[in-house]
Amino acid sequence: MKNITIAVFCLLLLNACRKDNSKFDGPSIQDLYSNFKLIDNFKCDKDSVSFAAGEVSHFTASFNKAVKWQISITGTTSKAQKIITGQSKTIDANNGTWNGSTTVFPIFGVENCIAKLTVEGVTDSFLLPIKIRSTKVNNGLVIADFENGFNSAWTKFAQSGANMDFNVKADTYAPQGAKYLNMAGTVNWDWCIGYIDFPATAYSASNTLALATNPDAVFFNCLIYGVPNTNSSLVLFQFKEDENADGIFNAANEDEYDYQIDVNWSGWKLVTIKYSDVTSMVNGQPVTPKGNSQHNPNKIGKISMYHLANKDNGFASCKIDYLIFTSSPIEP
Amino acid sequence: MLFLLFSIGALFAQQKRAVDFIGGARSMMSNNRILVTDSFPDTLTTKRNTGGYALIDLGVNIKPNKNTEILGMFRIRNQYGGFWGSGVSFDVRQLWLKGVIANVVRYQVGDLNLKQTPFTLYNHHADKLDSLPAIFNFQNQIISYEKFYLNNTWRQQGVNLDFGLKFSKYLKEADFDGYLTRLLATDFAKVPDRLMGGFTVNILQSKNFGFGYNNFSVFDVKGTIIDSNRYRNLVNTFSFIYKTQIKNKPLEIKAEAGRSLSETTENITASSMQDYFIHAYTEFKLPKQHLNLSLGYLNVGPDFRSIGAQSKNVNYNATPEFYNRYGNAQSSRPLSVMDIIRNDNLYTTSVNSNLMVTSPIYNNILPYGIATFNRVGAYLKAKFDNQKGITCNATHNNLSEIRGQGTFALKKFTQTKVNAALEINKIISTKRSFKIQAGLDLQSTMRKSQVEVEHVKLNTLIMTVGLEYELFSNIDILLGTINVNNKGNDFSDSRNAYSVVDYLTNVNYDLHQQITAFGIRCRFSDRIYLCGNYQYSNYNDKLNLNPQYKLNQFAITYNMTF
Amino acid sequence: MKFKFTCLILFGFLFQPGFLAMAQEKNTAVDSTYQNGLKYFEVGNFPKTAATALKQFSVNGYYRFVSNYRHLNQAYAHLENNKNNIFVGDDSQIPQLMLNMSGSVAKNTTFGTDLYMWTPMTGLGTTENVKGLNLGISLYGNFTSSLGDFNVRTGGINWYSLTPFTFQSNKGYNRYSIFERNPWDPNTKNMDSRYADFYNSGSINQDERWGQQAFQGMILEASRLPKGFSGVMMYGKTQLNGGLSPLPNNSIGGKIKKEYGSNYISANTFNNVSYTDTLQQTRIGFNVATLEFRNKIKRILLKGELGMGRAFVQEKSNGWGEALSLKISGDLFKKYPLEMHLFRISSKVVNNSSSFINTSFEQTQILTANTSTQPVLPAVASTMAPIGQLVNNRQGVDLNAQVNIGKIKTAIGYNVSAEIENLSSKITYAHPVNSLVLAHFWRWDFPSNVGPYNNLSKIYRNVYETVNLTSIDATTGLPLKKKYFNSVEINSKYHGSMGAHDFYIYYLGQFSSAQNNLAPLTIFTEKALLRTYYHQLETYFGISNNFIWCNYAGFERIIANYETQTDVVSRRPKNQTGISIATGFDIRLSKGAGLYLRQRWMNSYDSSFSKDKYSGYETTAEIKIFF
Repeated sequence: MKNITIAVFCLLLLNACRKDNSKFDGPSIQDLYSNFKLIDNFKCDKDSVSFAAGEVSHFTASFNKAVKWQISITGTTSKAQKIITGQSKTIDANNGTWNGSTTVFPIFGVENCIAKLTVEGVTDSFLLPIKIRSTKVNNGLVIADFENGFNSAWTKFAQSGANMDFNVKADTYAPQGAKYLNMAGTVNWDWCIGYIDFPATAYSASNTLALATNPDAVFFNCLIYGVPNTNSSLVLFQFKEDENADGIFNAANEDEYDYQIDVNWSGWKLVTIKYSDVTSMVNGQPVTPKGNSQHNPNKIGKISMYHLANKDNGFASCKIDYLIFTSSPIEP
Repeated sequence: MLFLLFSIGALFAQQKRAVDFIGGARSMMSNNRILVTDSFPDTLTTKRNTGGYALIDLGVNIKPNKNTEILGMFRIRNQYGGFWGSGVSFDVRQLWLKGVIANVVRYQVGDLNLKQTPFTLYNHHADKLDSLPAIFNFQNQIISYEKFYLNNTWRQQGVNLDFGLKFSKYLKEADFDGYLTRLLATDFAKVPDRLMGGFTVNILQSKNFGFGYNNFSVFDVKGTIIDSNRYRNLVNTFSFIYKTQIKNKPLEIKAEAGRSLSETTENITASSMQDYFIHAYTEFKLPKQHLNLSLGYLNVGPDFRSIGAQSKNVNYNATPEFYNRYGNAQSSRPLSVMDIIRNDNLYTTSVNSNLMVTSPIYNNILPYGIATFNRVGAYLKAKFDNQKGITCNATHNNLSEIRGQGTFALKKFTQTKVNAALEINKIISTKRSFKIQAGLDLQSTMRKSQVEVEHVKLNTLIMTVGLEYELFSNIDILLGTINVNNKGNDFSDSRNAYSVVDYLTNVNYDLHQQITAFGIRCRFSDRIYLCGNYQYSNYNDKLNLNPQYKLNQFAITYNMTF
Repeated sequence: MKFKFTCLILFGFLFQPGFLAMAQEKNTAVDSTYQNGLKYFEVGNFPKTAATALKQFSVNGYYRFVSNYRHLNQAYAHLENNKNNIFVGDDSQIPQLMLNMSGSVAKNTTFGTDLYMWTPMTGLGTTENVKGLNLGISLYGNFTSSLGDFNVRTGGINWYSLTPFTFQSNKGYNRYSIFERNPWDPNTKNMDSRYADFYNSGSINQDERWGQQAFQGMILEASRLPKGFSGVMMYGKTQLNGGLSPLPNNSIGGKIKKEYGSNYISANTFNNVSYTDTLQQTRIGFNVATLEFRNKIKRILLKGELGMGRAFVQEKSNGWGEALSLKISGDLFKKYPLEMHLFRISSKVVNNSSSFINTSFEQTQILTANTSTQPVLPAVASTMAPIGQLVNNRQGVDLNAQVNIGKIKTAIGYNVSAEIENLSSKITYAHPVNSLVLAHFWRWDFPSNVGPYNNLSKIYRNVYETVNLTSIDATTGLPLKKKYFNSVEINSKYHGSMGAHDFYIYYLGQFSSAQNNLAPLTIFTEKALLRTYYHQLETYFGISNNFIWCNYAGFERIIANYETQTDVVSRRPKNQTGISIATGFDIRLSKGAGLYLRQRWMNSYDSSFSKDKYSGYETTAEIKIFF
């Protein structure tokens, strides 16, 4: 046994010299940390694209090493921007595809755009022109895009405060289409500045919205504009499920789910939430739903949208547009 | 639950001692405060917070007959501040059935705590700080309880069988242990059913020689989703143990060697990985000198993958329990040593099929324990215990990469760990316990290359000092401090879903962390204590990659285990 | 493949014929306890040994079914369309089934929790059923050392009290009607024990929360400390600063007590700091510090508490105010127990966790949106409280005496008090005769300023009413004069028997007034801003050991003068009459189980305020079973 032991240890010691010089793991550090070189020029497979027809555009380029890169596409008219980022040695259809969606609002229109490629740590940038022949179409149930003004089936309430505005506006702020809803005012006695009820009957003949039954497959999206240097607005959506579809939401025994957005940013921002993620709340605190406690998007009878703000902090203002239900997170 | 309670009552009435209650209870209250030092004053973070809970884990252990045992344990948790039933949750914490079939085969179905060998299925706790002072250790033990950490096991759900056989000739006995558990349940779309199974056969040939065979595999069940691409990780190892004596001094040799295969059947971006490992060590005991010496050899191939042994119990991508954002930029707060010590939501319970992120801050030498791939070298351990109150453990690792990362040049790893404890009451023969402990962990990672950009030099120094003094009978004063210092640079690898390196980022460190704590503990019994402690920690990134912060906490913990 | 092949060979070797025949099982226990030092590693499922079992575990509790049917001939406006109502349950949130579970982990440590279940029986089935914890989870431990004995309670709600000015609820003088059962009233061994105890000792059996407050957190008690010292330290949340918010809204209090003989003196404190905003910019709270003592000098017992307190918002505070309560008691002519109570509590002393009511400091519930506490704060107004109930911004004297003549036992209370500052232009008062029925008009929450004239507020099982004064300063809104209060209470009890049947007759009369001048006795004329007269007569007749016939008659009059708000139509001030006639039965169903039936006819009206009227009846059935 002694000999066996010695033999085993000798074998082990021999093996101690084990090295694998045939290759190394990962990209070459020399490449990663050496000077940048563009191997294949920045190109796009189309000089004009019709997103409405389902077309997409692919950008391509290749470099001497893996780099952090960014393609920003800017509409020359709308100033909308799409940002695509990545970290790789090549840009191709897998990581450089644009489907017409927007990152910085407003949404792209039919217009000329400039695509700009920048690489981290490299001062040079690379430009390409590209033209949008038709814009991207988003499939879903539009609750409000305000393009036709105020729907008579909606119910609006605005407090009688100072500098109140709860109206549809058509100006350069519009992030989608030409119009949006402006919500502003000073209400120093109440958090509620105003609200709009969107009843399901405004969209279909039935008492509930025509949405999928699976709450994981229903997403609520909207665009909200935070006005700089004003009292931070809260936008509260109440999704009221008419579980027995009798046309009346009964708060005592039917579910209400709520989504409160603290508008603490400046400019337009896309807000998206999966319906199964909204919770029941009272005064911002979670509570148990009063109905069947199940998210039933197909039973939503009414959506109430509140504009709230701390009454002690004065004038509050925000803008909202493009309230839409989709089956996946929207890329407007 | 009512049914359960009444059923228990009925059983209890019918057959005394057929029902036992086990579990634990704990209440914890804490007040926390963060202080951020940044170029802009932090006006957004809620600086102080309070939290806590009281919980009961009530396990009902039912023995319908002498060969069968059932445990159902539910947890009732009441969040601090919740009055009249608010903030209450009910959960099932454990459920299992075990018994003996035909007086031969032992089985358990349901929750299992499984362990094989260090290269097959093993929870290494690779980043656990050694020689943790008692004031931190009790917090760490709560995490262990919460996450079912028991003898380096992983929590699994499935079935386990074991039996033993005795023989009259050739061999003395054989033990068989096998299990089959489920890692993932299909969502019928993208996630397949993923099972984990394995077995160990340990054979005792004589009183001095034993050997074993260990099999571990994780595999996707075909047809559970439409995607036919299936993952598989297979590990087979042999192990042996041999005992002898040299000049009447015991010598023990243990070794394990094996191979692994990791593949996805239709993977087009990464080929299957196969590699082997060898681990052997000998332990030499010098009883008169109260000394144990071990010399070990380790060789784990760069493509050796064993997810049962290479899963980490700390998830460095998890969000801390509180203050997860800080500073005026509300950036993600980097984890500090206080989080590692007390934050149970950073810890995992089960093995993870994906290679988990490591933290060079705590362990850059063997981040996946001794099963860390791409390591070759030797280690030396010494253990001294004079049975009179002085203990000391020392370890030295001298390792190297086998295959380079982003270069052909190889990293060299050295680590020296020394942990010592003095039980002064034993030394000076007093009644009240008085213990001082100290630990040192010095880690060095070096890579020298002809190309300067490939150079790596990262030094880590972790120091712990603790004191435990019994002020009155069963009332202890606890003190402790931990310092973690990192300085230098190393390349952090980012890996794709197939654990292939796709990017290497040069990360610079000049980080100093410290946590100091003191408290009073009242011991009601070995398993029951009340402890009030105050601890303050400092996270100081001298490179200003993250704003410096201090985290202070006052906590009262009352813990019962039964 | 090589490994699989090797395995096959290995197994083939192990299980060759003849070899297997010699095999036998090695360990057959359910728990594998053996250790084999010759394994490379211990493998398999852990733990290998059985866990230590709990020493003792017990479950007890009660089932309580209660249901009301109410019919109103005349109703308040909000019930005009719901004159008939069926209600199952108790909206004081006492559940139908309560299980109290406790376990003993070691000889000196225990834990306890509870579980309630409630089905509202509205026909919706299981979806409406409710489960949860009521008091939550508590852990207890005690510890004996050479320094003293220590007792610790942590976790869920613990009922606890320190002293009246720091942390305690009002205990009163046991002068109340016992016709209606409280949710927490226990079943007694004999059906008439409840009434006999009230006759004999002046109190019925109360549960543990009597006089105590709910507290969540840690309470550390020390007793048998050297030199007669003992102490308490408490840190956590009260109902009023509870909630799941991570804001550090906590209370801290404690007591250091020195005992000498049968007497003691203690230093006590209770303090709260709460934040009203998430960024912790606004800090509110209060501090109270007192000395409590008990000293018996011959036959005279001196007992009291004196101290000071303040409330603050941020760094602003009106300063510290004084709080004094001194009770001198002894037996008059060695026969009649007599107690004199002197008190003075400054308007600056605020503590909603104490036994006195805040009538001076306008405050809001911390995070009122939080659903995890019961956001009930009494209105800030000058209250006409029963004798023994202290309020701040008040000074005065109470006299309480017990006169027993034959089988007639009479407790007499007298009070004269005055506001220290004229801070409130409102007076609040109760409607004890129909209080519970009136409280049932609003279910599930405790609204304020409701009713036909928005002047009723509900607190748990009581409703109080607010009346506004008209003689106020137009600029400040404060009253022009201070208010003075007088009250006389008489509680007579008689126990007789008819053959083998015991019966009890109780009368409770309360006569109070509030006016702008000091008076030695209750004012019974128009000079009083407000007068309240309550008469309650109860009889309990033991038909058998298992059957008690209960009867009740109540009459109340509330009359205000023209310095209070008048009705816009009648132009007259409040002139209220309340009448209540009730009967009922206490029936013992089995050991520990009782059925309690009550039928109450009520009529209440205000001859000046035409919308303030209701009449009808309410039937209550209660089954209560303890186990």
